[in-house]
Amino acid sequence: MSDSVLTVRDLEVTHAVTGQSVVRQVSFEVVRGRVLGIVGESGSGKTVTVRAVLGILPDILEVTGGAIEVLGRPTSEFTKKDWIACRGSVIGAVFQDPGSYLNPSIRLGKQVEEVLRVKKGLSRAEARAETLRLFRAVHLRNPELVHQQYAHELSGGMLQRVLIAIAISLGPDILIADEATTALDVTVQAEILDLLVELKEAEGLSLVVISHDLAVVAQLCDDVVVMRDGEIVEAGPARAVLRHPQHEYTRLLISEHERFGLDRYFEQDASLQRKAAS
Amino acid sequence: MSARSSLLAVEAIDVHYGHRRSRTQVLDRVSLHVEPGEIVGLIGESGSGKTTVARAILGLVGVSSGGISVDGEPVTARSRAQQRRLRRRGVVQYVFQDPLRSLDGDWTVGDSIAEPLRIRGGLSRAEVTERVRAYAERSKVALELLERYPAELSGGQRQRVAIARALITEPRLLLLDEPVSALDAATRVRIIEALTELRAEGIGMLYISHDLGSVAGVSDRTVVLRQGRVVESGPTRQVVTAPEHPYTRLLVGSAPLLSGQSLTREERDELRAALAG
Repeated sequence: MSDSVLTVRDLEVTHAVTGQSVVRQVSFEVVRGRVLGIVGESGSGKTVTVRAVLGILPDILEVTGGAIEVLGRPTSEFTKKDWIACRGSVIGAVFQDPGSYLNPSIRLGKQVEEVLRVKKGLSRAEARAETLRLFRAVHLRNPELVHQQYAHELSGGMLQRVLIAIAISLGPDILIADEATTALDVTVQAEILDLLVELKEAEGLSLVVISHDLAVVAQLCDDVVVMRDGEIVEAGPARAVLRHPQHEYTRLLISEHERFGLDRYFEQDASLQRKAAS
Repeated sequence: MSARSSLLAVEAIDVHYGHRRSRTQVLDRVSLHVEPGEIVGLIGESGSGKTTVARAILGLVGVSSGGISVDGEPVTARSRAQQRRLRRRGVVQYVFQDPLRSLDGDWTVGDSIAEPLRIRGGLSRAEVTERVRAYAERSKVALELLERYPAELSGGQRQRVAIARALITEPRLLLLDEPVSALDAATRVRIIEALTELRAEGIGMLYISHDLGSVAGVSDRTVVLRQGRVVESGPTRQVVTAPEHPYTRLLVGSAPLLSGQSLTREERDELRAALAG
């Protein structure tokens, strides 16, 4: 019915040695052009869920139940070739520490060009032009200079822009940002979040934003999933979840912001409404 | 208010790293003070020099000019031996972001908490044990954890152990460097509540963080550091709701809020341009 680009239904991931389930009964849907946020703290299973979606679970974890569908195709039927065709071209992803996904001894421009030449079959000159276009799209101030630089010469925020450029280089339908701004300064985090929203509009992306910080998810996302201990405790439209949290854990996350965070100093209709309701 | 009466007084300090041509200034006339029973937030992003301020207060880096006094006694003018004595007295204690690195993995939790007392000396074994138990309780460390090793504890438990150890010499000033950044929400709330209890008992705290949002809720006053300079300081409510310096406005406007950011993207872009120019 709705234009779903990614559907996860009753996903269960199990630890192969201990036999314990790490993720249970996880279901959500990413609708084209919308932003889904997954909130959870360490150990909540949010990253395991994302890795299952990307087909990159470590050997010790396996999907033991449920279904994942990307553009209507179940990933359980994917061959290795299907996965290669899917990653980057249908789903792009960026993670917390951009530096560790780049080769320190190859110039940044060349690393982006390599992706374009191998997966899109562009010529050397075409790949260079496209790389510079991508660098401009992610607002790297001096694309020609960055093209010649190495990873250690750039700040964390700039490296994350390079990684985002790579992630969108093949024109994916879905971009997953797993704690992509956690290691960055707050002012830089705001720039990267602005960029993600801009790219969503410009490139027609659907976004999945994973964060431990409810506030990051709140301001960016249409829909929110709250995870804890491998399960979804609450899900729904972001405004509804923030205004009328049903689960005690969601209330804890909200109250922490209201009691000890900046929200304390700003008029907040969500908190007022909840107080009126209780 | 005279600086002399402050629990911590940092007066116009300059700090340089490196020698000769590679000499760079990392702090430029930084001043701040902390009174007993007060939490002061020191906010700065990477490279702002906030950790250098803490190191200077502990006497771990020298200042090129200006002065620091703790409890009326100058830190900066002292010899190394005098500084060591000051540290051993335990007037100032320090809690880091990652307690696993500040606790010795080969020592039981109880021994780690007791260490500052043993260094200072003057107490019998029984007295040490008694105080360890008292401060463990006060910092909400369960007594059965005292026989365990740091690796067996959760992050929140370890941070409470680090706080118990910091408190055991009855310091008057606590330096907290991102004490809750690595913890989950429930644990963060408990640690912050423990800190506000300590404030009520008259301990002064300098709470250092990169994130204004995480400090705003607990600090009475806030000092904003940028590129080695204090750009703004004042009561936290005023700094947050009526920031004057463009950088502070950008910090507040960049912090994610449940109710949405307080600045639009265009406003942030303008501030960035103003700061870059």
